[in-house]
Amino acid sequence: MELDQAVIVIGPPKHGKTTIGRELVKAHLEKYPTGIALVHDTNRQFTDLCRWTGSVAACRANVTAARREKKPIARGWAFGGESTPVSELAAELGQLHNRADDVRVPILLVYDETSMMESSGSTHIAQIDLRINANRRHWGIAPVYNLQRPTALTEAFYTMSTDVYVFAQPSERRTRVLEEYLGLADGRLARLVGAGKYTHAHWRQGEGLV
Amino acid sequence: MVSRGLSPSPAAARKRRQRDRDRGADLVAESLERLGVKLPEHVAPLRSPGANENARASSPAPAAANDNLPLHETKPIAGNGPDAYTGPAELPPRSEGGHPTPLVPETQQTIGPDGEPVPNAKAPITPEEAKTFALLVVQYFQFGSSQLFLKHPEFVEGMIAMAGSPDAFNQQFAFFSSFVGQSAEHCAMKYNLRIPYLQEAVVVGAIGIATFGLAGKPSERGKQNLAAMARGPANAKNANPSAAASSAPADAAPAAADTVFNAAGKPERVDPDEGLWR
Repeated sequence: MELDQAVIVIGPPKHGKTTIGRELVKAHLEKYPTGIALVHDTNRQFTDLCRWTGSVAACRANVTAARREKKPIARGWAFGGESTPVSELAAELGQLHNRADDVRVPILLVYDETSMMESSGSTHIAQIDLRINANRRHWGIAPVYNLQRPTALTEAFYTMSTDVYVFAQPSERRTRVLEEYLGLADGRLARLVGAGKYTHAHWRQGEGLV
Repeated sequence: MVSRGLSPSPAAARKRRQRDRDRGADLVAESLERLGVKLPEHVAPLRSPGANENARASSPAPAAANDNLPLHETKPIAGNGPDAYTGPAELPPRSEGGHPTPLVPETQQTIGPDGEPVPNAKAPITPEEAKTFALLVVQYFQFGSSQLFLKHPEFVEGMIAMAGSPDAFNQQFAFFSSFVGQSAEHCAMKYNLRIPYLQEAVVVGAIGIATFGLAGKPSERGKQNLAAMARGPANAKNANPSAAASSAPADAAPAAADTVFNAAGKPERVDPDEGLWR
């Protein structure tokens, strides 16, 4: 996981989307000693990697108490509740600690289920998500979006993404939408229609399918 | 009446032409596939993207494009728990001599958006801190009030008239000062108020007072004190009661400063001002 990545993972339930997210979180925490992972995790699927908390305020309280007692703190945090406070926390920490040429706290921001996001959707991109994606290199934030449908987020997200993982798709119509979003030739993703579980294609900005 | 169904709209006509083109493209692709001819990728998209989606959904995708799609497989991973990935709560400073930065700063809000108090969002103020805050507010109030009375004597005259007598006014003012102190303490506890940089202000103030005492220009009375100190401590005591209080031991006889010996060698009492002159 690089510092300025933006990742989209698309696939039906139980096909391995969250596993990709978990891999990214684990790799991020292992690669960067000061890196933190903030996961919007309403289904508590990251609890063996991140400390789960109900809200950002509770996270702050926990960190404040740890600082007062001079104890180490968890670098992985998973949150229930709304996603916007998590996004705002990431933006706050990114602006506080990081510059484009001096990222002290690499931040991995994962939305495990984008349908649970109350900010952006299939027809609009929220201001906070736009700010994070536009400034992610300066703020040291790498966002990860897990989607079930390609159109759950607008095309702008695909334009700003650096990596897209595509799992099995239920119909060719969806692969065609993805081919158009990613600038692929027609039928390039057709093999994913009805593909088995845990099988995915990986598209990378500037390199195509890898 | 002219039936509109006989003349298709431009959009419908365009759609029909597109469908025909796509159908032709499919036929060409199928023929090429049957003949075993593989087109380079850049000529593969014979059809316009996004057009006539329903027709395309039932047509098979070009096998040449499908076969070389690199696929990967995810493997489940297991984490070792959140405690396996920990870090310091504060980051080292960016530069030498700087302060460490809290990794996650405290919020200034004590009440969350749901109306519930944010647990330990900010370290709660202690009663001692609240008392200090209240004491400083009272001191500031009293100092400001005295300046107000000096600048606007008619105001204090009116207050005395309302109270009935100067003594009654003094009592009321003392009561009001204590009320100010209690209110300030209450507000400090309620809103978690602290005087920012209080310790720093005390240190800077102490250094400023000491520097002014050592390097500042003396006043007229101060010059007299210094001159008397140069002639002798006894004279200095006469020069200024405050200087005497600061330089004389606590158990020194107060009469000694006013006693001199005359030419005959006998002690005699003198006026303090005269003693200073000598």
